[in-house]
Amino acid sequence: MESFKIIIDGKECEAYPGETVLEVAERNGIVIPVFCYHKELRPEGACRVCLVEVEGAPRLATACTLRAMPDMVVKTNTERVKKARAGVIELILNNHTLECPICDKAGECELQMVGFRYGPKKSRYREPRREKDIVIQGPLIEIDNDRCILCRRCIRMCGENMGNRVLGIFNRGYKAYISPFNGDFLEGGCEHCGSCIDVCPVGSLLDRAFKYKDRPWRMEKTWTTCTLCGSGCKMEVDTYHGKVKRVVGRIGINNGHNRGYLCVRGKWGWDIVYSDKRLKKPLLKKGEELKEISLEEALRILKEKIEGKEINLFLESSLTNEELSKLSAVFGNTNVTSDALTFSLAVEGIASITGERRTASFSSTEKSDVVFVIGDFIEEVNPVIATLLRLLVIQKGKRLIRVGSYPSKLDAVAFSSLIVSPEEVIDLLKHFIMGTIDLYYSSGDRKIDSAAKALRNKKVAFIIGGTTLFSPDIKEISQTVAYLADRMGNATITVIPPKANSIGVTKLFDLKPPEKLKGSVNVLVNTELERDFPGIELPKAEFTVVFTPFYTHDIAKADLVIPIETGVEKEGKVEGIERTLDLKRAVVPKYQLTEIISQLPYREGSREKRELKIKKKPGESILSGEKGEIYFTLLVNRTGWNSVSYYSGNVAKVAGRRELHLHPEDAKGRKIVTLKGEHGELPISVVENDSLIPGTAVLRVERVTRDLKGLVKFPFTSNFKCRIAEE
Amino acid sequence: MEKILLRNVEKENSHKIEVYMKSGGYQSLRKVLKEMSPDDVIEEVKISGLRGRGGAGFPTGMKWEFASQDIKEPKFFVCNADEGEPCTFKDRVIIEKDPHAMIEGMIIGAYATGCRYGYIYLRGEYPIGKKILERAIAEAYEKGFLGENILGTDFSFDLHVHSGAGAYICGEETALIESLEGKRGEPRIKPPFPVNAGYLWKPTVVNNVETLANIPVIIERGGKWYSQIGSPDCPGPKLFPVSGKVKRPGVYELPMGTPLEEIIFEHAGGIVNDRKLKAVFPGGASSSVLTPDEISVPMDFPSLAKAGTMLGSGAIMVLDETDCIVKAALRLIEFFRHESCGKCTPCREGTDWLVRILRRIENGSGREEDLEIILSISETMENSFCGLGMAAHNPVASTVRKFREEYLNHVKSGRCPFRSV
Repeated sequence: MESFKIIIDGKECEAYPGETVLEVAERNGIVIPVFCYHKELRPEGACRVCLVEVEGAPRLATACTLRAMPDMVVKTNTERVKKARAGVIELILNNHTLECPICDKAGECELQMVGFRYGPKKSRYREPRREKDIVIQGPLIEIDNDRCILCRRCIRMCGENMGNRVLGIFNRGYKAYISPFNGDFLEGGCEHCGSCIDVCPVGSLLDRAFKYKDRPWRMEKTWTTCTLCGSGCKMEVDTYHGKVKRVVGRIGINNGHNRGYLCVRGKWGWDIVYSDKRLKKPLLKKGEELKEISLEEALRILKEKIEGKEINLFLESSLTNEELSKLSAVFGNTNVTSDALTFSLAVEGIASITGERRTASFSSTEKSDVVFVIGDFIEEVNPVIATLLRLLVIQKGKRLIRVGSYPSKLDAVAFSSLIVSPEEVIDLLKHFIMGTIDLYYSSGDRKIDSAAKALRNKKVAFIIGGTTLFSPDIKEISQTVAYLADRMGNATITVIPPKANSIGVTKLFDLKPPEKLKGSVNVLVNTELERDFPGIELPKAEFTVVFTPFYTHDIAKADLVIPIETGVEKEGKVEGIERTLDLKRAVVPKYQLTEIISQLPYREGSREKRELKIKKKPGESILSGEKGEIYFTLLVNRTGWNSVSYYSGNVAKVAGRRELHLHPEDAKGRKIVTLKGEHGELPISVVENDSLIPGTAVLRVERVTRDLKGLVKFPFTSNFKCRIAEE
Repeated sequence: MEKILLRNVEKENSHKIEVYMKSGGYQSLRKVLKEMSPDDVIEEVKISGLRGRGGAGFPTGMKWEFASQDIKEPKFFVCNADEGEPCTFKDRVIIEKDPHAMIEGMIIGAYATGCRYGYIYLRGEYPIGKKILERAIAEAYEKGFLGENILGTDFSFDLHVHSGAGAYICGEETALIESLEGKRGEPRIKPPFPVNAGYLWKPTVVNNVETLANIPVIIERGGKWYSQIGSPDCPGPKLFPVSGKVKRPGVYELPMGTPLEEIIFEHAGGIVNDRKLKAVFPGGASSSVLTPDEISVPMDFPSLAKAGTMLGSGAIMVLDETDCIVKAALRLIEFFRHESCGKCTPCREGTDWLVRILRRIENGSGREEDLEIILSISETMENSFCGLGMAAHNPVASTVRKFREEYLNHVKSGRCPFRSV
């Protein structure tokens, strides 16, 4: 793009077409005060604080909406500008409730700072303060409209960037106030991502978990990475005297790939650390009972029991690289299973075309023209990744094409979203293989053809993720995608890891299905069998050791239980979707996994190089449905992923329900149906959902419990076949 | 003088298509579709020098030209009939008495700019107007002036009436478009202007009712003839709704540039009970006030701008010597406070503060320094987002400047001198 020069305050600045004066000024270190403007949001021009003087223009203009033009001369600090600015700030302050001593925002409040620097030095307001006195409390978010300056950042954040449209303005003029639809966050469809709180310049939108808890300026700030899913979001954990007070994303300041966006788990799931289900001491099974013992004793017993034994290692993949390498050194790395198994299958599928077990980083989407997503429910499994994909469309103008079997929130911004039955996904991708290369190829479906046309001669970033990763077809799908990418040449493939360190686990261990484990001692690290290995029985063993931060159901099967750290207590590195990410300990845990493991004897590694068979051909679907069977996906709600809502008191307040979504054709008006799987059945209440395609169902659960055992079997929990019992 | 805009209003059943057609109605449309290309129409309107009658006075021909040059499809033609300002009731006459003139103007405009769909955004408080317009549109459809292939040409145009929900701000064209889209009526950032990105971000022409009512005449008699009426730089007939303390309040059609004095004293019959004139708001509720020494000003856009006020919608409000200027300013600013959408700070907070100060002054607890505060608030309000806030302070600030004595009188005596105790 041709750049040109504009002059701001006598300084010659380089500007690009389409840029606003504020953006140019910001890049050149010229500070213009703002309220309604935010880097991540569409300019609104509502607060009128960023007024600047433009040579030749009769009126002052707002820098946030003013497009830079060649040879423009802008002044940001003339007397006229200063006076106008102070006038606007005076108007904002007149009726602003000065509750700074008890306001949670005090100390990091933009109104305080802008008011201090640019505001009038004396108040002329003699009228009684106008009170709105409208406080709207949701389970986690509170809106105090008395403090609101109506900058509307929250509305734009919620409606445009997050795509939820929960917040809006009620009434008009001086009576206007911010509220969620019907005054109820849950009814309004709030996802509790907390982004509105983050962008609020004043203390109007409040984190209820933090309300009246501490003062922002005296807390210790630790930048770490969230480990509650594979998005790997960077976040700031604020602690005071070793206790976590809150988590903030700092949208606009955060330099992680998530840019400060968080989800309900990242923003409020920090209190899993203080869960009342935390394990406090090691436990040993004596007879039928578990007795508390000391760590030394636990280690002694452990050393004794594992000596010379082959170990069945069950790993949950939120562990750090340090923990994993220690675990592999102590317990071996070949007789291992993990919930990252399906992720490794996806990588394997790609590797069978490309020849290397590696996927592109998420930033490849930034360099592409088209983002091609193959995946369902990315917004539930990796909410922040879904947000970032959405922003690629609305901020960067990329085209997004989505292929899947269920409706998604991403469809709202997609250039084209192709929703087909699970067994047809691979066939659909094959149409693309033809359609992107052969100009005259027709699939017989205009929608597919136009999407294929959009890919032609474009840089494409393929994204595989969401519950599709748990489909029995995943290896075949990723192989087909890799084949398509290979044929196109100018394409990258990214697989979104479902858990924080799925990539690390896949790299370090040779994962096997649990049935193939042949050891005599079971070691479970950070797992919950029902959640991570649904439908699997623990192999018969002489001894079972469970490393876990919480009292889980696995403890009942354990001979020895050793507590470990979780969440913001973790330290180390994880392999993120973008790069290796740092975890910094925000609070110091009593038991640290790495410390415990390093006291155990190392054993000689015996890892052979994994063979890679390269076969350059697209995959074939292994799914086939019979009449009367439906494909169903076990979907763990956004709040319940990684059992967050089970352990976190905050997140539990907004936890979802367990319900079965069925197409009206399949539901046939029934309110309750019985799902029949291969090994069991489950009666469940039905929600009719006409955005599904007939023949598919979504079982939304908050937590995977024992009663789902008969329906799904590890490693696949999506696109499972089942029947609906006819009454 | 010959009536142009109000030529039909006194006829019986003037709102019916038969009456309108009998007096040569829809002949201009026929002429346009059969003989003129869209560019010819725009050229004719440009020659006529017609300027928008909604308040801003933007040359209509230029607006149409911008819209016709835009390549995005489809284009929309919107008639702004959201006439909501106090004392403005000129469009109502056309809507209720001569709806076909504006509909014809709209079809011609749509033809000139290449618009496929049209909307009349009608003020929510005009239920009678809505019925009349809907009937008129149905009549026009029946006669083939609307719909597919109008008069056998390949030009098609569909027209709908959209009733507002009672917000003054929706008279601002971008807020009108937002409201039309089903959103909250709030102004948008300009640029892009509606002619390039309006309704559904497609090119949209927004014209006032009175502007459109001028179009059939311009086509019929030619732009040249039209440009000779009234002031040379903004020609044409203009409707002046006169209200307040005059003997004959009402809507008067006079050429642009008629002196204000002539309108008040000749056409409207002078002041009630032959009292003394005190002040005039010459261009609706948001115009600056004029004192009796200033009323020789010709009523057109440039002359009034020179006099420090504006023509706006042309609504003339007359106050006599028994009226309290503070009370008048208070009533006007209360209206703007109520109608401010609340989007931008200066308008939302400024109008409220002005109301509070004026109420205090009117109730006798004003202070002298309040007058300085009023002027400085008004200066800040100049930086509002849209025209509402930029103009809302005018009646207050101008009365403080021109009737300072009266304000001080309120402050000093501790009561409103016009209020009987």
